[in-house]
Amino acid sequence: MNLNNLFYDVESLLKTHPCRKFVEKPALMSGMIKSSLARKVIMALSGLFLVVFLTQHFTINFASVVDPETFNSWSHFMGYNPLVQFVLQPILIAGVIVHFVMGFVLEIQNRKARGTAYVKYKGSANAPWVSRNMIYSGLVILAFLALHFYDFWVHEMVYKYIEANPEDPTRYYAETVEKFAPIWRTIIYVVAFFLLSLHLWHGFASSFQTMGVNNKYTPAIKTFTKIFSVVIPLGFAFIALYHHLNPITH
Amino acid sequence: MKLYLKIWRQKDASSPGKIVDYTLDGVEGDMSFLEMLDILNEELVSKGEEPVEFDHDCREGICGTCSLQINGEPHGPDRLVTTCQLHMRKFNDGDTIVIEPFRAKAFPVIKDLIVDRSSFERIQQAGGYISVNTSGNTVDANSIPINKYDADEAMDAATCIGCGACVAACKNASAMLFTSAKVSQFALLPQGRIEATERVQNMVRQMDLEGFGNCTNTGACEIECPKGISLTNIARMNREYLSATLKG
Repeated sequence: MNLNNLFYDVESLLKTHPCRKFVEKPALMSGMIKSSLARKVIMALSGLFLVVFLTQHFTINFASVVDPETFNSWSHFMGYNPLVQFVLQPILIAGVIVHFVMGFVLEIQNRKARGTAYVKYKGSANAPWVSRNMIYSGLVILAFLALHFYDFWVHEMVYKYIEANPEDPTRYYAETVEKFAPIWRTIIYVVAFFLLSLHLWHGFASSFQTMGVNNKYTPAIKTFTKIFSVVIPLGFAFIALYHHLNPITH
Repeated sequence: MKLYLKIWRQKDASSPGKIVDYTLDGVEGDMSFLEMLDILNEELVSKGEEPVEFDHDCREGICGTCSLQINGEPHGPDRLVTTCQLHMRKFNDGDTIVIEPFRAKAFPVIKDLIVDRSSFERIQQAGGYISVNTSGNTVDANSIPINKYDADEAMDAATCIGCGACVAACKNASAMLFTSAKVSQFALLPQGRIEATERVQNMVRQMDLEGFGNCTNTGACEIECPKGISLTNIARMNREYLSATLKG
């Protein structure tokens, strides 16, 4: 009879024993970046930052349907203020990149975590469509951003830094309205705003849960999320359609 | 009633599996889902075929041993029950029922519908305990007054039976609900606060090492959990983790 079988394998026990934590302390920084929770927090914080940006972007854009002169002066300020151009703009671009790169990293990790796919998986039984398809609404928004950057940001960079045109504080309204003359661009923008609405519907309130906020204020956060995710994209779509339907007649 | 069953059959961990069709007659509404499988197995054995292997133990909904993804949902279409407490009256005559094992990279299939959930045990071992002296001078737990609200919340979290339905339901196969319940049941009590910082860090690290996915707050786990473990536990774990990380 092998007496060893009667006793625990002490070495393997020690490897899994709770006291090992005092021996191998996780390296804080590398642990943070690899940690699933830290990655989620990065998604949440960059997402919330983009929500703040959206609010500011909407406020300025909405001025274009209320008063073209105000729109021109605000746009000129944003376009030529050094703080906005050389500090806030790079932070914004970094925020967008961090959000979608981390989104892809997490999506790939999540798909791997399932292993073998289910023959039958009833996702609709326990979770809303928007929450299960953030990657797709996100991809449409990302594709839209490529067009949007080409339409406005690249145009601005060329105008200011490559062609080195003189400052013209009155050009913005006309340039914006002109962009929405083709129906195809207006339709693409409106469709993208619809997907943005779906993305915000889940993402905004979800970022609070990720940051650890789930308390008596949560119902209010969820209600505000619903209002925000409808009003802001609907407003953006309204602006695009308004300029398409009200071209500048020369 | 007569049922058409589509059951995942897999010889062992390394063999590929496939769905096999069975027709079962004479099923009654008062039977539990596992009793229905027992009858199928008796038929299979009497025909000289190998029975369908599945996990079960208490059959009272308290041990967390039974599993099964039934028609695309862990523990089937009923709410707040485990598979052993799911009754066949929830199905209709002529229904087709797809029965699969819980799917996650961290839950490898052992055979047929049985999966290895020891990854949950390793998460628990990484910090789901309190260090107390049990060598003859154990302090009475009730000597520390705890307010009723905290005690109830800790008890709610502690009702997690570790069945793995949260992982099976989650589109990302995330174990956040399980881990957060185990973190919460201690975090809410003074006895658990002493090791709170290390606990949450070690348990989350082990959860990641096991290859579970990331939480995207879809809430599927909360809906499918047979014990109704709440998403507030995940938020608590996130808070605990953030404060533990900031403390260093």
